[in-house]
Amino acid sequence: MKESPLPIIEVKNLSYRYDLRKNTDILSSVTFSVFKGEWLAIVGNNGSGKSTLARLLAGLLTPLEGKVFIDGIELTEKNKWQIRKKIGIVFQNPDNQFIGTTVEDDVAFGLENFNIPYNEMKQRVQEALQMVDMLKYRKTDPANLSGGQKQRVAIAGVLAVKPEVILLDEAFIMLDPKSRDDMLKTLKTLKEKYRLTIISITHDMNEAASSDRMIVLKNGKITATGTPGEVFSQDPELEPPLAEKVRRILHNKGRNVPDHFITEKELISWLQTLNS
Amino acid sequence: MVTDIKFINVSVDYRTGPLHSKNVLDNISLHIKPGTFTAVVGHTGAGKSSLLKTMNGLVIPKKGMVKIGDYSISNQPNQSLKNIRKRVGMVFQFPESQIFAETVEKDICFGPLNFGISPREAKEIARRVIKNVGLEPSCLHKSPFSLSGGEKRRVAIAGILAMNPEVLVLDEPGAGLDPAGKKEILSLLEKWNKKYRMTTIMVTHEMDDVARYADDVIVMEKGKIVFHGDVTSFFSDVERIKSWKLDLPETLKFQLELEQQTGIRLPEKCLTPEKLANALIEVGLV
Ligand SMILES: Nc1ncnc2c1ncn2[C@@H]1O[C@H](COP(=O)(O)OP(=O)(O)OP(=O)(O)O)[C@@H](O)[C@H]1O
Ligand SMILES: Nc1ncnc2c1ncn2[C@@H]1O[C@H](COP(=O)(O)OP(=O)(O)OP(=O)(O)O)[C@@H](O)[C@H]1O
Ligand SMILES: [Mg+2]
Ligand SMILES: [Mg+2]
Repeated sequence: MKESPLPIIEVKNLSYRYDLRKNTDILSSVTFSVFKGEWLAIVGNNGSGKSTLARLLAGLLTPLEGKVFIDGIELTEKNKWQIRKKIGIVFQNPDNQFIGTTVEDDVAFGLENFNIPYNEMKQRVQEALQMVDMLKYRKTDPANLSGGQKQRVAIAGVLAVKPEVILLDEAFIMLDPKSRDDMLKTLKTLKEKYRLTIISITHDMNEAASSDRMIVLKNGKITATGTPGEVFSQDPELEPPLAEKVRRILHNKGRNVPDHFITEKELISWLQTLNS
Repeated sequence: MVTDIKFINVSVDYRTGPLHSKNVLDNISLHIKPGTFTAVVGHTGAGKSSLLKTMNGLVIPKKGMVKIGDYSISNQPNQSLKNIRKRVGMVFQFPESQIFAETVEKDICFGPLNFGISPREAKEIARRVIKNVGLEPSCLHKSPFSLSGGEKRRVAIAGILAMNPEVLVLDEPGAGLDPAGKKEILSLLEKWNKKYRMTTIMVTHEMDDVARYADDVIVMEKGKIVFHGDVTSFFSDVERIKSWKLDLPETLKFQLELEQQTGIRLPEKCLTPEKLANALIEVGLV
C-alpha cells in the first residue's frame, strides 16, 4: 500500500500477560501495521492470543510492554473513548455485549457517546439494521433472538458508528452461509467506497485467503505475515483453502501441477488450458 | 442403551408476555432413528436451536409430545425431565451459557457427580475428556471464564462427553474451533456415535461437515421440517438445496463452477478435495 505513508494502526512490540505471577507472555513483542483501506486477516489456533490482541486494540486491556498507535495517536487510558470512534470492534461473543432492551436501542446505545443529533442517530440505526437485514426485529429484545440474529445485531452496532476501522473477532461464525456472503459483500463495498479498513480474526481459511494480507499468530507471536499466497506457502501447518488443497494432493500424487500457491480462479483457468 | 427420538405434532412458542407469539416450531412430527448421526441445517431463525432445546426439555412443547426412548416430554406435569437430561447431553450454541463453575474441573465433574458417580471417578473422567478435546490437563484448575473462545467451546463439549449420554445434541459445535481442532473433535464425536451408537444430532451451517459426518439431514424453514432423509439423497438434488437457500459443500461448489466455466465433466459429484483430485486424474486432465 504505497499510497498511504501513515498506517492507520501501528502496533509496536506489544506484550501482555493476564497473570503477572507467570512468566510466559500471552502476547510477546507483537509488531505490525495496518494501512487505510486494507483488509487484514488474523488467523491462529485457539488460545494463540487473537482476542487478547483485539482487547488491547480496544483499550480494554493495558499492555505490559509496547504501544498501539491509532491514526498516529498513541492509545492511552485517557483517550481510549475518543479512539472508539475510529475503531469499532465486534467481540467474539455477542451474548454479553447487549445493553439495550430492544434491538434498536441497543444499536443506538453505541452512538450515545458521540454527540450525534437525534435525527441522524435514528437514521444511522435504521441504515445499520437494514445492512444486516434485521430491521424487522428492531423492537425485539436482543435476548430473544437466535444466535445468528444476535451476531447480526452486534455487527449493526459497529456499522452505525461508521468507524474508520472495523475489527471483527469471529463475528460471522453463527451466520448461515448466505448471510455470511452478504455480510462480506457489504463490507467489501464499504471498503471500496469509503476506504474502510477491516481487520478480521477468523478460522475460515477461505475468508482469510480473500483478504489483502494475513497475519498468523502462534503462542502469542507473529510467525508469518504477507499476502495469502505467501502465508499459505510459508506455513505448512496452516490449513489451506480448497484450490491449494487440491493442488497439493495432485502434487503428492506426482502429477505435474504449478509449484506455487494457487487460487480457485487460477486452478480453473489452469485446468482450462489443459483441457483445450 | 440405543435411544431414538420422536416428535409427535410438536408446537413451541416462546410466550414472554400475555401476547400470543408465533410458533417457533410448527406442528413438527419426526423420528430420529437410534444410533444415527443427524445434521440439522437451515437459515438463521429457522428454529434449529429451538428444536434441539425441545429434545432435552429446556423448552416444553405447547402442543404435542417429544419422546426420548421410553421417556416423554409434554406440557402435562411430568417427572421425567431429570431422566431425560441424564440421557440427553446438550452442547449449547454459545458455550458461555453452559459453563458456570469456578474451575474447569468442577465444571466437567458437575454432570457425573449429579448422576451419582464418585468424586474420584468423576475427576478421572475429567482428566480423560479434557484430553479428548485437545486441552492440557493443567487447564482443569483454571477458571473456565479465563479461557479463549475456542477453549471454552472445548470445555463445554468435554462436560457433555463426561456425562456419557445416550443422545448427544450439539448446537454448532464446530463454531470457533480452529480447523485442526474442529476436525479432531468432530471425528471424535463421529467415532463415539459409531462405537457406542450414541444418537447424535448436530446443528451446523457447514455443508462440508454435513457431507463428512452425517448419516441423515434435517432441513428447517420457518419452524417446519421441509426435508428429512439420508445424506446421499440430500445432496443428490443441487437445485433443491439452492431453493432452500443453503450452501453446497465447497468442493461440490467448486466442481460445478469448473464444469460450468470449462465444459469439463467429472464422472461423479465430489464432496471432498481427495475425490475431486482423483476425478481430475480419472478424466485424464492432469
Ligand atoms: N481473562 C483471561 N484471564 C486469563 N487468561 C486468559 C484470559 N483470556 C484469555 N486467556 C488465555 O490467554 C490465551 C490467549 O487467549 P485469547 O482469547 O487471546 O485466544 P484466541 O486466539 O482469541 O483463541 P480462540 O481462537 O479460541 O478465540 C489463552 O491461553 C487463554 O487461556
Ligand atoms: N428466548 C426466546 N424468546 C422469544 N423468541 C425467541 C427466543 N429464542 C429464539 N426466538 C425466536 O425463535 C426463532 C427461532 O430461533 P432459533 O434460535 O431456534 O433459530 P436458529 O435456527 O437456531 O437460528 P440461528 O442459526 O441464528 O442460531 C427466531 O425467530 C428467534 O427470534
Ligand atoms: Mg478469540
Ligand atoms: Mg441457533
